[in-house]
Amino acid sequence: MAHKAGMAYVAVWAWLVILLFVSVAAVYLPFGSTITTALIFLVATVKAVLIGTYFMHLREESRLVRSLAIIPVILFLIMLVSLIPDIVVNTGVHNASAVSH
Amino acid sequence: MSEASVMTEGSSAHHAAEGGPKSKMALWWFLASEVMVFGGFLAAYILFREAAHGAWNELAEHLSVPLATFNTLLLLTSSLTIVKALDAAKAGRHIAARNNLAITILLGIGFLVVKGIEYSTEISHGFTPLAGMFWSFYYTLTGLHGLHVIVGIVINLSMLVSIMRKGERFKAGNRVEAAGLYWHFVDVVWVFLFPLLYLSH
Amino acid sequence: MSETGHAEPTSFFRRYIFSTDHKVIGKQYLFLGMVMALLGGLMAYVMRWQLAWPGSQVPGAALLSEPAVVDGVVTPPFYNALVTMHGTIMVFFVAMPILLGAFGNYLVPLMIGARDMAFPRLNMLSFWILFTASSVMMISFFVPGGAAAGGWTAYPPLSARPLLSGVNWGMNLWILGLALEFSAFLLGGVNLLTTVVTMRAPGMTMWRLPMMVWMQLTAAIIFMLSVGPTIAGAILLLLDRVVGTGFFVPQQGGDPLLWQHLFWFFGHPEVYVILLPGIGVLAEVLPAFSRKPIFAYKMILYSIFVAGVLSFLVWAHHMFVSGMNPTLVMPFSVATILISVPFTIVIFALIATLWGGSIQLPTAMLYALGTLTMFIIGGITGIFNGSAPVDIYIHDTYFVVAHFHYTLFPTVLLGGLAGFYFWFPKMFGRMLNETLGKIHFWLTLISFNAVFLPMFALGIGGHVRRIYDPSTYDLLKPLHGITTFVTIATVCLLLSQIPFLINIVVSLTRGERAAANPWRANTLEWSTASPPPHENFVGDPVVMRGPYEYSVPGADQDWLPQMQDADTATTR
Repeated sequence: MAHKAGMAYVAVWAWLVILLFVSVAAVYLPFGSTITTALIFLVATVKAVLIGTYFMHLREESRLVRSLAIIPVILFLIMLVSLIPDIVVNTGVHNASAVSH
Repeated sequence: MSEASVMTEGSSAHHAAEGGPKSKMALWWFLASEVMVFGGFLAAYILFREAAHGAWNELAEHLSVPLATFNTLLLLTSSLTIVKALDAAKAGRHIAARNNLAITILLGIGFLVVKGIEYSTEISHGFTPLAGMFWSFYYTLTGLHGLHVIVGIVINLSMLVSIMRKGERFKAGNRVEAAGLYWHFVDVVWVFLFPLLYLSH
Repeated sequence: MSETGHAEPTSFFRRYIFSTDHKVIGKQYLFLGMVMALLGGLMAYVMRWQLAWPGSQVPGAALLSEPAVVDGVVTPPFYNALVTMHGTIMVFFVAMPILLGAFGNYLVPLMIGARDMAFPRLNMLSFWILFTASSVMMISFFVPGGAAAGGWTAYPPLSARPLLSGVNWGMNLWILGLALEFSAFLLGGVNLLTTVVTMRAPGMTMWRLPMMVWMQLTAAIIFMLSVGPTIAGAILLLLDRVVGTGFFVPQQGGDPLLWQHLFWFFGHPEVYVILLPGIGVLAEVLPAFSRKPIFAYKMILYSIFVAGVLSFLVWAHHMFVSGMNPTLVMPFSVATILISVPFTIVIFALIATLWGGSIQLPTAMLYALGTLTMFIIGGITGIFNGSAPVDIYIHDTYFVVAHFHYTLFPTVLLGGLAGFYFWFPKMFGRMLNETLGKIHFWLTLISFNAVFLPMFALGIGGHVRRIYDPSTYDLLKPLHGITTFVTIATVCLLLSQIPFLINIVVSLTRGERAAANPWRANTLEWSTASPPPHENFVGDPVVMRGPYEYSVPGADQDWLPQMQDADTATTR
């Protein structure tokens, strides 16, 4: 039983390593920068979900704990998206020049 | 009716003595707040980088992708070894627990060493924290992450000492799990930092 | 962590100073909050004296020294420090310690039938971290350059460059003090959440929790989820100040508005973190003194949850005139108006609780009614601020000051006092004097309104915030009479607290001893002695019903305690 669980962990680790090399390789692929960026962050998200689900045992945890894990991420995304019109689009309005260095 | 008042089983005192789900819940609560802290930093970085409309890409090329990839490997592996240490501790296999925990610590130290090499190389080329906004963010983000790694290593070291001293008498309660959760969190942060800093061309 | 079942400590230090007993820690928070309230109030007094009689000697300022005060006259830099520290202290070192630290710590274990918090030693650590934070804040007045002076909101670039404000270490200490305060309440929050989730007595389902416990829980969750970005911002600000980075400095490519976003992302939910325990006080006091169940328990809870979620989506209403992208103005304005809906539902439910009740008016109830009515004024004026076109005119004027004092002051002071008068017998085993209490109430209520009601007029008249000498502006000369009136009322408000302090001293020493349940209330803390024994309850509580079973038809008394046997408590 312990062995089975042990092998599952190694399998997850193997996938994490594979995904790592996928994301590094993606930089050298001929896709456009938007697609590459999306791919890389998708991979990062999958890795995070793998670590969370298997290594951090989120699969076996209560709904409360799973909410504690996911809600901050949602809040972060809300904050990020809300700030785009101001900090990204509005560059040069509140700072001296477009951030170029 | 008065039996109710004399009841002692299942009372809060009994529940408390097991220290059951408490440390884990406490740690998830702490991790939730840490996600918001790192989220604040990451949001700031992402927004500023987007505002630069690609101007930071050439700066990021001064970072070493090979070294950072190696570092990512170190951290991912350390997540594996710490969860194996936890499993071993729960099954009473304290030698395996000790060994896996020791490897975790070594991998963590290795991460810091590589980071140090990166920093010294970059600084010797003149890329200090004050060299520009990209570099300010780079050092702040990786520096804060590094501080969290150091704290994790200290926590793991104290657990290692505990296992070595108590041997078979070591009880793998939720504290070990909590330490593991913290370490995994540090790993997850890096999983996002790596592409954000190194791979966004 | 050592849990319950430990023997009661005997030495003075372990009983009263370094205690792990949540009841002692709750009282420590209360005491700290009250001391800081006095200091914060005195700061307001000095500020207001300067506003009413600019350049004059402030009575009592002889105690202060140069360079802050010259010949008894407040200097402009010191005035800015007073403005900054008054706000900082009141929000972080009065409101939170009293409403969350004191009421949360003292009441939650009792109300759920537990013997202490989940992590008693962590609880003690939290208090002492807060104590350190408070000390750091007060010490910052005495370092070269004085205390932080950029407003409690610390907007850069003023706050990012010591050269611009003349304040160096004071501002760094301010950041440190805040970081410690955040840590204290994050640790406290984890303690509270774990306690409520894992240590409820048998029969205490989530739906039988007293409203106060729900409010504390929700407040802790909101705090924990919102404070992160501000911590990030504070670290970036500190780096800007100490290392010379330019995260918030335009000349270096930084953006001052980023700070504002990071700050208010927390700053707005924070005011609901403060408000919710105040509502919790009302939810306990109003039913008890109407002898009626709370109206629509679940509806109140759902409204609070909706409001909690919305509270994360309105922060930029503090930034309508900041120069942020105008596209953001409308969504945030709409969300802000929307958030008034759930709170209105809660207010109506509380009023409906009173409706048809057999109302009793001890001091605690007077304060609760005062809180409710004054908060309604505050809430309504929030609509004006939330409506962006109106806000363009009234932003940064005394209208806003009046608005937030009409929400915060009722919540923290009137609500806190309602809770104080209500739970004092439980905490200290003595009854407070009702006559002194009623004098305190009427003096406070009238003075409070005299201070803040005219500020609406001042604000619309063009009196902006944070200025040192209004007499230098022609526009404000006709308003000076109002300003002077407000200052006199401020002095009255401060003096009105004297009967309260006398009441406390007299009652603690010679007050009538309190029975276990002097108010004939239902929640668990009233089913044990006043004050409760070290382990809170004799035997283990078993909960049989909800917390608001007042005037149940057919019962022989108009209250029905949550614990089955009311007489398991040791009464005197």
